[in-house]
Amino acid sequence: MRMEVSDLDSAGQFDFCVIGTGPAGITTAMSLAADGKRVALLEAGQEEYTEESQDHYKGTIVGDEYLDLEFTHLRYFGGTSNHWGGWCKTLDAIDFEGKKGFPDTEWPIRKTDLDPYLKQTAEILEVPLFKPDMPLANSGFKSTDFTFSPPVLFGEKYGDALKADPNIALVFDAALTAFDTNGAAITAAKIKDSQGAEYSVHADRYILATGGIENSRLLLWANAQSNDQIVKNTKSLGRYWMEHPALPVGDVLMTTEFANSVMQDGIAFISPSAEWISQNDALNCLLYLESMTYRGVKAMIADVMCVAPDFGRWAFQQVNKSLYCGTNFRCGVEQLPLEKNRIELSDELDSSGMPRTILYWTKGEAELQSFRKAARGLADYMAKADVGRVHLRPWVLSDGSYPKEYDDVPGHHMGGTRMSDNSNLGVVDRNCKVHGQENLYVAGSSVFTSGGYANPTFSIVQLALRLSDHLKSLS
Amino acid sequence: MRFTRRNFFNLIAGAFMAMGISTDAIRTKVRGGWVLREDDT
Repeated sequence: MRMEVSDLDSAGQFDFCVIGTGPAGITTAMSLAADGKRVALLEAGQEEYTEESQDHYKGTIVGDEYLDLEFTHLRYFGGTSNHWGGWCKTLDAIDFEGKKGFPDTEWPIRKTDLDPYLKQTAEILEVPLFKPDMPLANSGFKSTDFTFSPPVLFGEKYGDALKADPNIALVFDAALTAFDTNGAAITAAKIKDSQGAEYSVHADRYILATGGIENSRLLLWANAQSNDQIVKNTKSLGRYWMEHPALPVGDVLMTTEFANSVMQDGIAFISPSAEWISQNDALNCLLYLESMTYRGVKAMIADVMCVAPDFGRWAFQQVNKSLYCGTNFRCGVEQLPLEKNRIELSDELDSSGMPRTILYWTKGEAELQSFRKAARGLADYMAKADVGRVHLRPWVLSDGSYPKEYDDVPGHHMGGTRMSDNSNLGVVDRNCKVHGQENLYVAGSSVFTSGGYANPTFSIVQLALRLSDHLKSLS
Repeated sequence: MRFTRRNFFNLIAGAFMAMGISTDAIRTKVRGGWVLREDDT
């Protein structure tokens, strides 16, 4: 049911207070409510987009060029699901196990802890289950399956159900500003509406689900107002923030037979095996091949004729017989979680008086080398197996730094309140509970210990379902 | 002639793949940014 923010003070004790209405918050709230729990579900923004609300998400970027923060996450009902692309993929088993030679990449849980939620997550996101990976002979690479949500916009899809659910109090214009604590547990969530009026929500347990930027920002601000009594060990708070750096690495001429075996709807997704990752001291990555125009293929053939004219002439004949085709070749890599990539609070305040975000973010050498190794590895495989030839960009083949031309990062916000059993290395434990608090939990991609290459939404929903099951088991 | 050679290599590579035999012994070279087989001319 809908509840006005002004009714919160008199709403009594909830079983759960879920803060945020993106995929993590709505999934958690609906799962708990279905179990008969009384849930306050709070959205800082309104039911629809407003510029006034979105202004709260303006921030500063320090480091590499990055997308403006006010555009990469959304402050209204449904959260950032309102502009996600719908790409779905699970993290790989090796993402949870950690990468050899890369510290702090191991999660305290395993892929098998999330696998029980595959089917339910697929239903929520309206996608089919993933097809099994298909190894590319003994290349160390595999063709891997993505699924595509319509995409599900959580506010739009689940709004009517939330408003009709008697166990849910859905409240708009209810921005978290602080937590009250007795030292061991949260006793109230302090809420402010857009007019500046303040309210309190009382619940047995609180779940912060405001996304990969705001979860850190809100906890940093809650800590600043409470002398670090909310996240008591602040060593990793806001830190180990991650993205999925992505760059074009080249172009590919390949046999139509190979293309048909790996491409679906004009695109192929290829990723390295766990063994290849270990053997090459690389981070995980996604290599994707996307069909190009005939004109682009001809330009490539003209180029290869300069260095291998016999091959070029042969390839041209094959193209004209529809036996050869061309693709753009892009790569997205896992980012090594590092303390220095972090969210901090600015001296500048938003209209509610909350400090704005400063995001410190740079891509590093580990990601650069992973780009190179993966792109070269697939190029070598294609030549050796004679299924194609790859033209790599100069920066891939050089020892230099990143290319000057910039490519979009996808806007995947991960880390900042990462999961670890060690409170020096993580804000939440394996059950997403904040270390040192009895009843405060975090949901969403901010808990990712490491990020793999997979688009995060599918894992966010899996983790939210797992958290909900854990919370139900406690009460 | 060229087409035959290509078919031959495709068959060989396909056979390698089917048998799970490594193609590591096949060398590659880089020319003008292209990752080519050593015997590409």
